[in-house]
Order: sequence, then structure tokens, then C-alpha cells
Amino acid sequence: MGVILEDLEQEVKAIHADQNDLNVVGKRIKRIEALAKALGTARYAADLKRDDMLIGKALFAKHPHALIKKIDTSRAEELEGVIAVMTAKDLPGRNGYGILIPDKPVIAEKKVKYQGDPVALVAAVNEEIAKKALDLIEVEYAVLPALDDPREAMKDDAVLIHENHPAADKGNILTEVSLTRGDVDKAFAEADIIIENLYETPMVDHSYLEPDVCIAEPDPITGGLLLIAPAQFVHATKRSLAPVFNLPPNKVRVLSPVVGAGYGGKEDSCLDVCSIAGVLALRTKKTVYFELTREEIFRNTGKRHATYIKHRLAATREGKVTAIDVETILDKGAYVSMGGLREPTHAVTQRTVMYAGGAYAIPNARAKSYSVFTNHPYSCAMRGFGAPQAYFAVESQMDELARKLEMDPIELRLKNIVRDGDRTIFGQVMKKSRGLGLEECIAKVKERMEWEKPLERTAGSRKRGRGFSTFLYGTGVPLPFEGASCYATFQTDGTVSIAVSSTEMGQGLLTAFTQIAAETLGVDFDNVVVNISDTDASPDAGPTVASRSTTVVGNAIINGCTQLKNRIMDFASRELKADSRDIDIKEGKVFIVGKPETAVPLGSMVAKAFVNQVPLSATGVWYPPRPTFSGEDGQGDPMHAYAFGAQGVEIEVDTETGEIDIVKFVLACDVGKAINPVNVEQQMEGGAAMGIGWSLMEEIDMSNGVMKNDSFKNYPIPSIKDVPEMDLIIVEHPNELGPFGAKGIGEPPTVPTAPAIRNALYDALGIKFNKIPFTPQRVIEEIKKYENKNS
Amino acid sequence: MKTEFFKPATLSEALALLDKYQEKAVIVNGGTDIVIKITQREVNPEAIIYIQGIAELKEIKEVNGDLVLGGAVTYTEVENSSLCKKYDGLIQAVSEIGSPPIRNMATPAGNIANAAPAADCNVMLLALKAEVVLASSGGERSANIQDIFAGPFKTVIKPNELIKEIRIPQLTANTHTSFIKMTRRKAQDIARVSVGVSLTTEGSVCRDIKIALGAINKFPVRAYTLEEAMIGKEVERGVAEIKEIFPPEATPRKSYKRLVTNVIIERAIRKAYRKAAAGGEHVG
Amino acid sequence: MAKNISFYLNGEKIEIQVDEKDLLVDVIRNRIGLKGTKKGCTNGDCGVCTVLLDGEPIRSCITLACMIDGKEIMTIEGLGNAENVHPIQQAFVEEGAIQCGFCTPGMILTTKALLDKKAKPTTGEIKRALSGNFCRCAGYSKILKAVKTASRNLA
Repeated sequence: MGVILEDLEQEVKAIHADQNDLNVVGKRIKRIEALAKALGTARYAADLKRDDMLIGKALFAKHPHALIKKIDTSRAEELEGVIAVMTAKDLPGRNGYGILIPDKPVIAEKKVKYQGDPVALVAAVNEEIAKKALDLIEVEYAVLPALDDPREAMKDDAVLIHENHPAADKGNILTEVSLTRGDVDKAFAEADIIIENLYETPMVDHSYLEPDVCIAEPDPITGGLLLIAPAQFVHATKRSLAPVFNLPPNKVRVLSPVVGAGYGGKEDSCLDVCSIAGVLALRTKKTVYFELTREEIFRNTGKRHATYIKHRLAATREGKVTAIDVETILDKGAYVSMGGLREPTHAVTQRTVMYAGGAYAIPNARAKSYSVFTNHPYSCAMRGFGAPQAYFAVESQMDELARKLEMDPIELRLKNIVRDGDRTIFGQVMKKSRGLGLEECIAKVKERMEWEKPLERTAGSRKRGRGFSTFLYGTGVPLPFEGASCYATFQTDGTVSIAVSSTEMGQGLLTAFTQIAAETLGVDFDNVVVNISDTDASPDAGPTVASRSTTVVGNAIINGCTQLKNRIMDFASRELKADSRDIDIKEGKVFIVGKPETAVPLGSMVAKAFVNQVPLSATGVWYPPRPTFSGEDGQGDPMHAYAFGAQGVEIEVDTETGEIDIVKFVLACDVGKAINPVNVEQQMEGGAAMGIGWSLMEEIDMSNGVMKNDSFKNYPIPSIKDVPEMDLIIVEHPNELGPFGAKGIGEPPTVPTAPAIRNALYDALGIKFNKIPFTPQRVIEEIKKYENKNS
Repeated sequence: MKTEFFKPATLSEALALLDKYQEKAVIVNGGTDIVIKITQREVNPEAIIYIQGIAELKEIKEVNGDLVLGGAVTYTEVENSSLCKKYDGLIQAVSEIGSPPIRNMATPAGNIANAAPAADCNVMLLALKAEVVLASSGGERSANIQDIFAGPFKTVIKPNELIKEIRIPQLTANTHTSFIKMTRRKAQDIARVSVGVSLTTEGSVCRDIKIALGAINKFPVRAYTLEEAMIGKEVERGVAEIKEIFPPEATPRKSYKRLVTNVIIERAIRKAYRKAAAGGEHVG
Repeated sequence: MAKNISFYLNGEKIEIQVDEKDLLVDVIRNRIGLKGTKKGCTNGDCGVCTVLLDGEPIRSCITLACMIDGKEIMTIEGLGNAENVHPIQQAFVEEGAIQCGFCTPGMILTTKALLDKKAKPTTGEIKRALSGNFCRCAGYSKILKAVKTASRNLA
């Protein structure tokens, strides 16, 4: 059962037929802010620092788990140039914040639970004095045992990290998410073949190059605060921190300039710096500048959840997967962040359950995930949000199944992937109408990998192998508040202002949103300006996460622009004396369709409308079909559309040193519609590079709660020499609910890398690598073990 | 306590400053190791003595056939020097340290003074049997590089001394050198295991060999046991024999290094031997 | 104790008083006010602070300001501006080599130093030259392409 490329191409051509007359959507438009970035004139938050600002610094916990017996700040307070020293008792409002639940203290009061808990804050006239002041603060701790392993931490006799956590299930177990479908035990009893393995994925760091920073400025009129910081969710930052400042949300303004990347991390770390800068600003009544050092970013800010996955898979000898039974234990770190609570906010925990069955129609499934507190940095959102971990397990399982059945790995996928009308393990029916381009992705990867051509296996001590993986990944967050609002405004000369609270952090949404607005309104790209990430300027568009912005916020922009367009066309119909259904706006002109001589410049029509009581502003809104997901049985329709993809890699392993070279790298992603193909390529490339780093070299080393590698010197991210040439294929199967058919692409490219490389290693060496990263050290140790066993 | 910054124009000026400040001074050469320590307040000097302005320390020259690198010569300057070209191993070691912006500032002398166990250039200098000339107001003394290191990040250099130059003995016509290191990623990474080799052959026979190992002990060490096993034998036979012997001079804390050290040693020897077999003419 | 230093910054002579322990990156950003040079770590590990010293790339975050007394420094502002965009900057924009932009100034300056020395570098030579400039957003291929395009356009 294969896939014939020509058949698919016919189908795809039909889908795209009516999209051929787009002016600016789908085009390779240059990034709006690229020139400013190239000239060095684009302003990031740290560039707004002024000399008159006080410098904030924090004293962080000396031990990862300890009681605070005593704290004496008197010597620090006496130091000349120190304007304020704060401990927990000095806070103006609630000593707790968090995106989902306010369990993280601004300043630790009785106990520190990880190295990143602040115990005191200082504001001084300059950095040197602030640092000296920190040295003068004396803290007495009673050290407690620190927990590194969530599997140990979840035991009944483990030392309790949170005495009274408002949301924890039991002991150090924060939450448990379950999925059941069909009759799993029966399927396993009847299975021809069972594959069982334990997989481990590490904690890793986002390593965005722009450090976390906040400028907090007291507002002299409202008594509130302006917080300027790189963020990913300005409205949630405002909402979560308002109680910390003892201010109502309408007196807290959060403004995020151009951001030097976030990858999910700045959703939370923004709160870490804003809370500290904000309370210091309120206390000193002066503007405070607070920036984390790179070491503090490593030790204190959120990380990717480390996971331990026990994956069992049952199949028939014909290659049909009949059941899975999966248990995942996640290292939650010290605070909830995006770990997940009760329904419906299970976040990362939920994804490990949801994606445990991969992109397959498996009739029987059981998946249970536990999110467990440890004395580690809080685990938060990071590109992929639990999916890379889940897919590492399931895609490795599939490969082993293929080998045991002596079946081609791609053929096995094709036997099991979801097609139009099939249900996933979470019970959602996959629909062609929402874009289901998985088969095309698989076919294209197979072709470009030259998969049928036999591989030259060995050259001396170097061995070659090929690996494959496939995935589906939802667009958006399965939460009740999923949706977006924005403002669309005509200026009186017909130029356009769009205001969205999303963040431009390098993914190019500023440009994509401009394209969408221009296309919808029929105006020139250069006549649209999009204002971003300012809580005062725009309503909540939701977080800039989950690969959702192009789709969810894009739709809200279309909605707002369509309202504006309709108003002008309505007004024009009276001016031009025609039925409003016969009016259109294109290339900045309003006209009666079929009568080009009636064309009037849009600017003058808008100017006229303005003086004729036509409102020129609209609120654009979009909600997807209401997301559902039950934390009890894991069934529901969590996202309205899914990106699909396939990954092929060919590697060469030096069996004497364990070093891996990626020789071929092919990635195909179905994005529905590439609003800007350059942006999509950039996301695919960058996401894949992050996947390569995760697979081959990145690993945070925690020992008794202490981070051993807290700098770029000891935490390697891929350099230009480490990333291979990539063959990236954009596939488009439009999503009927997406803007011009679009779905999300920000995260999907990071999802399939690790299992594809792992499967290539298996192919090359016959060795199963169930723990990432595949560093030369791990690879050579496994090779030697294997050689010793077989000699 | 305030810090003073000095940029002496001559060696004697620098030595006088060192006499005055002793351990309260730090020498800034390329700065790539020491500036971080100053910023992070790991050291708090009364005097910063910046030596890049001392002309005689910037020289690369040949003295009686020996290669002499001045104490303020940078890695990039070594890479670009025609006099250094024939020391393949030195060029190989130096050209992969850090990344280009680091190499534009960092120096072999600074690397010696910093004494990191994994320092690439130190390993190669050890294989080349380099001599370090230390200058102080009291005169000069010279020490073999392996006697300089006292422990991880510790040397025997006195507080009033600085490295004036590094002398690398002339290579004979039949000597070829090489350097290989193993890292986690392909650029700007600290070595996990590194090997520097200086191989002297007569036809296919190994007449002399120096094998230096890095990141495998508290400081770079010579694998004397393996060297003795190689000398006098056919290169191929010697390589095959020593492949089975893990050098006792290496005491790695990480056990996996035992699995790869011999491979890297073999490859480094072969790399040098290939040059010898290829006619052996030194370039430059 | 303050120290008087004098150096050329983007062709202009600067005479300024600095502290002995002031880092070059801080003097450029805070004292002189040129914000194009970024700060990502203070270990010289990431490359966003790269400036050109006498035409060669260095890490301004591990260089003391006093060390560049009498020298020539070029920051990204010295390469081009809105009226006069340098071909390397233009190439980066055209080829989609810019995402979050934080690594961009350092990447562009390192490219300038490379192309000044070697007008038509090979892929290997480009990778070597940029091996100390890290980009977390990209997979580097568009950056490579941008350097090659710039090299063609500068010819």
C-alpha cells in the first residue's frame, strides 16, 4: 500500500485552485522590521535603559531546598547608594503569581524550593552598589534534602516540597491526566506483537539570546505601573501581576517591544522579572531596571519538562497498531507554570497524553501522565510543549515495530496514520476540510530521501543509517478562553492601523498580520501598520504560543477588517448608487464590480465616510469551535485544526568516537496555507535546529537541585557548523477555518527530529537509544556495551 | 579599593609594576579568561597590567632554528604566521580554539598562565617540548612547559613574573606534528579529550614520538608509556600495539574517556604519519 | 579612579573617561549610547556583542574599554544607516536571514570582516568565520545564503 505522488498532486491542485488571485498573502514579502534589525536601530527592552533608572538586583536562594531561618538586611540598607531593600514582609500585595495559578512567590518567605527563588531584592543607584548590597545580606538556612527525580519525588515517603499547595493532587504530585479509549487489556492479550520501552528526555534551556529584563515605571497619574519587558502574553502578565502590586489590572500596563526570541520561555520568565522590578518601583517610587544575568537565566527561569516515558504498543502481524499503554512522568520543577492543573488547564501534561498515540488511528489506548514537583527550575512552555517528548517515544516504538515485522518503516506508518474520518486516541475525528496533508508530507519526504535506494552502509569505522518519523500537532490552546480580539481602524486618509497584543519575537507575525489585513481590505501592504504587544493599545489576543497566532489572531484581524470593509462598501453603495453586493475594494480603490470607470480612491471614500457618522474602528474577534478535553478519559476536540509533518534523516556515525554527522535532512510540514513562505521556512529551519540541539547536545545537568552547567560554555547550542543543510518542503492542505487556510507552524518542526535521528541510529548500528541527547559519550558507551554483549 | 589600569610600553615597565603590586596585580593579555573573572568579582586586583602594548612581546621569530612566540602573540597571529606553518600540530590546535573573535584576542601565553586541564594549545606545546621563558625584575628563567603546571588552573609562575616568550624547538626534517580533539559540537567547544603528537620517522619506523594528552588529567600530560612502546617499531605495528594500552598517565574522571582516548591517539599519530608518508616536505 | 581613553568609533574620534573595569560593550551602549551592539551573556560565549577592532571581530563583553585605547572600533551603526544601507545588511534582509534579530548585528559585522579579507569565500570558510556567532532562531542556511549574496553584490 503506497502513496502515488501524482494522485495527490491532482487533489492538491484542486484545493489551491481558488487561491490563485491573492495579492499579498502567500507571497515572499520582506520582514517589516528586518531592516531596522540589520541596521541595529530596532529597540529591544534593554535598549531603553536610561541613566536615571535605579538598578534592581535579587539575592537568590543559596540552596535548592531549605527553610529560611533568619534574614538580616540591615548592613545592605546602610550602604550608600542603596535606595531600598525588600524581603517578603515588604511586599505591597499578594506574594504569589503564575500564568495558571499564583503559586510562585515574588520573594520567598519561609522556604526556598529551588535555586531561583528570590529571598531579598535591592534597588540601588548603580549596578556595582546593588551587587555589593547583595553581599551584605545575611541569610540563615536550614537545608533540606533536594529532590532531582520526579519518580522518587512522587513516592509517599518523599520529602514534601509544597506543604499546602492549592492545586496539588497528592504529596508532590501536582496533577494526573488520564486517557482511555476502547479495551486496552483485551487488545494486548490478543496482540501478535508487543513493543515495550522506557524513554527518557532531558531538561533543556530555551537559550533565547536576549536576556530577560524589565523596566518598571510608576505612573504618576494613576498610581499604577508601566512594565516594559520582552513578553509573550502581555495581558496575562498584567492579570497575574496586578494582585502582586495590589493594583487593579486597569492600572497595570505591559508593553513589549521587539523581542529577542522566547520559544515559550518568556511567557513565564517575563513574570519573574516584572514582579521584581514592579515591586521595587512601587517601593522606591522611581523607575527600576532589572535584568537577569545569563547564569541567572539558566538557573532561575523555566525549562522544558524532562520526562520518563514507559511506552507499550500492541500490533497485529500485518502491522496494524491495536493498542498503546503509556505512562509519562514529568519533572514539574518547583512551581506549576504551564505544568497543568485540574481541567481544563492541563497544559504540557495534557499534551503528553494527547500525543502518546502519535498521528495514528489506534482504537484502544490508555495513557496516564503525572506532573511531579522537584527542586528544579519550574518546567514551562518550550517549543513543542510536551509533544517532542511524546513523539520521541511513540515514533521510536513504531520504528522498532517495523523492524520486528521486517516491514519498511514508512509502509508501517501508512498502514496506521489517520485519514479523513479517522479518530485519534483522544477521539477527535480528523477532517480533510481542516487540512489533512499527512500523506503528501510522507510521500514527499520519502521521495527526497531517495528512500527506495539502498544505502551504502559502512566505510571503515563509519556507519550510515536512515530514520523517519511523522506527527500531527494542534494549532491553538485547548482552553475555554481560546480566541482573540484586536482593533482594526481606518485612518481618515484610508491607511490602516491594526492593534494586536501578540508579540513579535522573530517569528514574523508583524509581517504576516500586515499581509492578512492588506489582503482582506484590498489595500496596499505599505498602507497597513500593525501595533503590537501593548495592553493599553489592544484587547487580549491570547498568548503568543501554541503556534496559534497566525491562525487565531489572523482570523480576528480578518474579522475586524471585514467589518471595516463592509461599512465602507455599504457607505460607498449609497455614494456610487449601487447595491452594496456589487461594490468591492481592491488595490486601494473602491468600485462597482465590472465598471472600472467608477473607481474612487479608498482614502477619499473613507474621508467622506468619516464625516458621515460611519465609525472607522472595529473590534475583530474570533473564537474556534469550543475546545473540549476531559482530564479523566482524555477525550475531546482540543484543537480545531492540526499541522502534519514527516521527517527523514540520514546519519553517519563514527563508531570509534560516537560522533554523529547528519548527512541528509528532509522535513515536510503541512501548514494549511503559508501566509508568508519565507516565515514558514524560517520556522521550519529554526525549529529543526532546536530539535537537533535537543537530540545531539543539549542537557541541563542537575545534581541535588544545583545546576552544574549554567552558562553557554557548558551548555552547547548548535553552531553554524552543527546544523546540516536542510531540505524543507512546505505542504498546503487548507484549513477551512484558518485565515486563507492557514494552520500553525511555530512549533511543529521541533517535534519529529529526535525520533528520526534515533531511528537512523537504530538503522545504522542496530542499537536502541532511548535516552537523549545522543552525545558522543552516550553513543560510544552504548556501542561498547553492545559490542561486549555480542562478542 | 580602586583598580588602576596600566598599559606599559616596555617589558621592564611591566616587570616593575609586577614587582610593586605582586599578587594584587593581574596581567591582562587577550583578556578572554581574566576579564570575566574581574567582572564576576572572582578577582579584585589593585592593578590591571595590559601587556598588548609591549612590542617585543608581539614578535614571532626564529632564533637558532627554534620558533619563538612572544608572550602577547595571539592565536590568530600564530595562525597567520609563515614561520609557524611548518608546525602543523600547532596550527591545528590553535585554529580550533574558541571561535575567530576569541582567537583574535586570546594568546598561547595566556592559555599557559590560565592552566586549564583541557587547554588545547598547552597540550600541543607539551608535545612540542616547548620551553617557557619567564621574566621578572630579577632576570629570566626558563622551564619546560610540563613543569609549569601545578594543578588545574594552577601554575608555578610567581606573582612578579610574566611569560616573556614560548620557545618551540626546531623540528627535524623527519618530524611531523598533529593535533586532534574531541568535542560535543563542531565549533567553540572545550575538548573532551585532546591529543597532540610529534612524530619522528625514518622510513616507516618510529624513531621518536611525543604524545601529549589533554582533558584527561589535572593538567596536560605526556603518555610516556605509549611513547616508549612506539619508539624503534614500525609505525603501523606500534600503533596497533598501543591501541590496546590505556595510558596510565591519563586519569580521567569520566569513564567514557577511556573508550575514546586510544582512538584519538591513533588518529593523531596517523595524521602526522600521513604527512611523513606524503613526502614530508614542510610547507613554508 | 577614572581613566581617559581616546579611540576611533565608526570613524569618529571619541575622548572619554572610563572606569578601569568598564567593559567595552557597556561603554558603547551606555556611555556613548549606541544600542546596536547587544549583550547576551558576559562570558564571550554567544557572539551578540561582536564589534570590529581594527577590522577584526572581537567580543566586546570580555574586553575592557581601556584595552582599546588608540584603536579603531566599528559597531553596526558604522556599517550603514537608513539612507545608506550596506550591501551586507541588504542581503540579510533580502534573504530572510533575520528572525528575532538579536544575533544580527554581530553576524553582519563578522561577515564584513570576512568579506573584507576574502571577497569570495567558500561555504566552509563562511562557516568557519561565523562559527562564533550563535543564532537560536535559525538553522543558519539563510544566513549562509545572505553572506554569499552579499559577496556577489560587493564584487
